[in-house]
Amino acid sequence: MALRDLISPFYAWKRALEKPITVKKPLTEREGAEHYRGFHINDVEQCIGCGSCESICQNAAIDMVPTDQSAEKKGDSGLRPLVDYGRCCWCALCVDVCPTGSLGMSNEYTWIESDAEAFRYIPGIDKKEWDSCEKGYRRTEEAWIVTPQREAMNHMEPEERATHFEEFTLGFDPDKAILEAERCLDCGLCVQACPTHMDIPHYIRMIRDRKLEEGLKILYKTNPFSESCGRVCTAHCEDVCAVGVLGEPIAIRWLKRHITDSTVAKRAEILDLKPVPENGKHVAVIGGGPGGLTAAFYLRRFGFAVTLYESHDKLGGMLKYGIPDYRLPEYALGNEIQFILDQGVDVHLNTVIGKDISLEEIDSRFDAVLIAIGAQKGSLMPIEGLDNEGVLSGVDFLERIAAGERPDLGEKVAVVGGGNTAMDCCRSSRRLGSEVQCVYRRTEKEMPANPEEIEEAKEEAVEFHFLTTPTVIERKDGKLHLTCLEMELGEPDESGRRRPVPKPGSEFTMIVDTLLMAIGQKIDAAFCGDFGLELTRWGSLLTDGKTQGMKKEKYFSAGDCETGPDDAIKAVAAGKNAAYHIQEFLFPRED
Amino acid sequence: MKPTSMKEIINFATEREKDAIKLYTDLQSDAAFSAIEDYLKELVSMEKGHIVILQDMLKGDFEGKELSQVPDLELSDYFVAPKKEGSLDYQDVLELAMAREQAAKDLYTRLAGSMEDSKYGEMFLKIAAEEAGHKHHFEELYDQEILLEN
Repeated sequence: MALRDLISPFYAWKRALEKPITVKKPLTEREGAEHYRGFHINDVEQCIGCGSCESICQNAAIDMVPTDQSAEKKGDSGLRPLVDYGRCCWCALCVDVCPTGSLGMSNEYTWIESDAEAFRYIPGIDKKEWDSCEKGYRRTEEAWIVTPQREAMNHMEPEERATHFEEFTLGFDPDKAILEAERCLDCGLCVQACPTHMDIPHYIRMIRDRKLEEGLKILYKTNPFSESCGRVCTAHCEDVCAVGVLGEPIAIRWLKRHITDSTVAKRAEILDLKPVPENGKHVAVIGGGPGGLTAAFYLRRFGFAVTLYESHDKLGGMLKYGIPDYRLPEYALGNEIQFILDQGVDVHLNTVIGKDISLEEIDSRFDAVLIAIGAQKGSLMPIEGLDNEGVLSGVDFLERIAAGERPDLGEKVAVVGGGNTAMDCCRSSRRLGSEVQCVYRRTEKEMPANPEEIEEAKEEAVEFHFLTTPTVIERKDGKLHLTCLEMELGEPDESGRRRPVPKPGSEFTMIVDTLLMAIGQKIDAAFCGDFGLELTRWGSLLTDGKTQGMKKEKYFSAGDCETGPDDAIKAVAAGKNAAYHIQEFLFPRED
Repeated sequence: MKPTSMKEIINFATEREKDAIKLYTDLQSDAAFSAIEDYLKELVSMEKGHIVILQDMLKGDFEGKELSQVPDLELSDYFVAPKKEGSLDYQDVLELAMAREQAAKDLYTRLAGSMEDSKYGEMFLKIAAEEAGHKHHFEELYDQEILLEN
């Protein structure tokens, strides 16, 4: 060993008492440029935790983490980005992709800290002195990586479509579908919002990758009514779409339709569902709507023998009898129902429980019974003159339209109500050649119908009378004279809601040929009550909510008859959930 | 009616509440299913509660209390007389209850206007306000649970 090697450690100490060369803050204070990309800032109230920043970061410098100040809710994962400045390269891709514009960068670029862990923090949550910094980098419209406008889908013009019952939306062509799919940020907020938790980002990715057959398989994992939902779903997913915060949400419904429309000819071949060995148990499903049929589909896939009873002469429930062909053509619904039946469901049409077969008999023959009879009875507002000729229930009218009838409603029609049923009544009446006035007791803001349906009704020349209600119906000279009152919103009640109250002296008369009442629907489950199944005061079947099982062993319920009137996708979700829990009931797992 | 004491007024109103109790009790046999029967029993309990409120009015210093302004959706003003027999569902029961409370409110308001002694008139107005509150309760339920799409 050389002498130098021995003394060199001591040599290093010769400067121990000298002024250090390294300084705590080597830079002179100089403000960063106005648009400098410095430390991140985040408006945590505006942020929805979509994680697009995390996904796009090329250095894995961002992790989405739970915080005490952000809770999970519909359209918000509750997570917030944590930035690791050991990895961040300050490229600002995270800012440029942010769909809410909540994430930005301050122009602060110096930060001295002895604890390395401090350089991992949650902007907006872990308070920093640059949180309120106005300068720095913010995303501009030009720099936004997201395309805010959705691709337009081909459709017929209002003047043309309002003359017939043919479907007026024509679907995406392949190129447009790919462009639309490319807008998706893959954040997955939509999955949580979808009642049946469809794997939306995954099937959109399949469109992008031109693998529509794979996309179809993904759809059928959670929804055997994807072709119908691709046309008429209320699209809870689009309500929470991250792109929709500042732009137009991804057209998820139309993309789903693109997959089913493009693969319909080879559906059975693509899905290639192998027959499942029967497990020896037999389940009765009462009601052939979306809830009952979905349950039947999954029960068959679990190996159960399934017998389905339906009171109508066709299956489909409210999808068939409540939604006109121009929105959901019979062939599309028929395709899906046939595919479900092809799994081996034994169907008894025109069979009314309590009349053609008793619940007692069903009880004796089946190992489990699912009741999914929907809420198909129209409610009527008890005003004078309801029994006049020309006053119809909206639900009954739509059922006649679905059965192929094209009644003469006369020159003028009034539709009372503001839900989707009312919109279908309005638009069907237009297609029968009548002038239509929609009378709704509240404001447009409170209308429960889909905004898209309201807009399309307006395009088809339906005239709206908001804050109006009929109070008396009289028949004079072959016409219905409706005495109407204008309403105004009263003072907010304890819940903060402002309810409509009549405006004094606002009475006026509306003269029409037909009045369609579409104010709501109710459940007719009297046969269940007679059999000893527990009903709520609203007439719905009482279940435990989670398994959808009823107090009476082996009885389950799904869809509108359990929850009250709601949309098709919730019925699909309930049917799938009930099928799972019927399996759990009949074949309990040994944990 | 020409009352000579507050007690007479309260007893009169109490009798009307007892009529309501009898109505809701009799209707139970016409309930479409047991949950409606249970709901009618709830209404009986509610009416019994109203009797207690009336009796408390006698004990309390009602003259010092201001008349409360009760919102009125006026649904029962233009609804036709509800059915009282056959298979009654929730909507039928709410319509019956609204109509009954409306009739009671109208009766007390009318009586208040016919009183020569303003003290008695004021008492009737307070009872009418109570009934208006009950009516509003049922109208709110009807507004949010029956007129779902209107």
